[in-house]
Amino acid sequence: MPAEQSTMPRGVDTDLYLEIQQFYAAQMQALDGGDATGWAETFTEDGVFATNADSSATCGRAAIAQAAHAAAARLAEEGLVQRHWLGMLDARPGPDGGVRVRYYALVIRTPGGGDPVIWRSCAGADELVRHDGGWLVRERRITRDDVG
Amino acid sequence: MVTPDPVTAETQVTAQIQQFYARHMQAIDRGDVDAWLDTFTDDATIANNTRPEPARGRATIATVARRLVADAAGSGVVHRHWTGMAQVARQPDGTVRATSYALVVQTPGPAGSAGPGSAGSAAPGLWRSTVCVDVLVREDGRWRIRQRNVTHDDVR
Repeated sequence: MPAEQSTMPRGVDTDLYLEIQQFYAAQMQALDGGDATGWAETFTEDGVFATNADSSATCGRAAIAQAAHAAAARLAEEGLVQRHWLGMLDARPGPDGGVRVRYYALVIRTPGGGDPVIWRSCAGADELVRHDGGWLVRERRITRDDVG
Repeated sequence: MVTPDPVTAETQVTAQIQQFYARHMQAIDRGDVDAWLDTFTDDATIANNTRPEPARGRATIATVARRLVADAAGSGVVHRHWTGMAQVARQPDGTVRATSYALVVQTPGPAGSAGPGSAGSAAPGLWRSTVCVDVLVREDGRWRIRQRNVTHDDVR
């Protein structure tokens, strides 16, 4: 396998890579902070959130916000704080000036007065599109490692 | 509006190395051995503190990697390699020496449970904690590992 024949596509430029890291930090902190509306606004109006644990995807900002509200309520009821750690971002230029990102995510849960645990380990694939100088998720596909 | 500072070469290389590790680790974790091998030079070596003699050359590395991927697939576990805390040092000869921490998160996976869509019973856990020292070279507009030395924290 000579080096010259590599077909691995290039990544994105440094400033874009850092910008996308910042986007995810803000997005996850909105979710973990219980800001369901702010979280939903990081998706396009017709954004899609799909996981391998659910045969039907959550489609559109309203549904995404509603799902986040419900999840936040369940966590509050159980007395759990949740933190999403996203990392290992592989970002590549996508169509129409967008970006495709593949990443890993850990979900850390901490009960009141208790020890944190790794609740979930996942891989994610996002299609990001430019909007108002920032980014929005048009489609997110999450693969939970504990689900076949 | 303030004009942003230009990205320094140092910053650029650090970001390239971060992206490199994301692809490199995602390739092996999804079992794509060919893509993973393509992130090493032909004459690459891999050593660790459990085996004194390093694996030399892509062909040898390939044999080991295919065995490890098959073992993991057979046991149904999912591994995710997370690297971070990378110190990226550019060397005078144009190579980069990257010293990172690497965690491996292991999820037992749904093997043996009720089939597609079913969830496994066991939670993910930390499987390994390591330090990874790589020498990377720029070839054909991309980075490749020429030399890797892994220290497993549990091995004395």
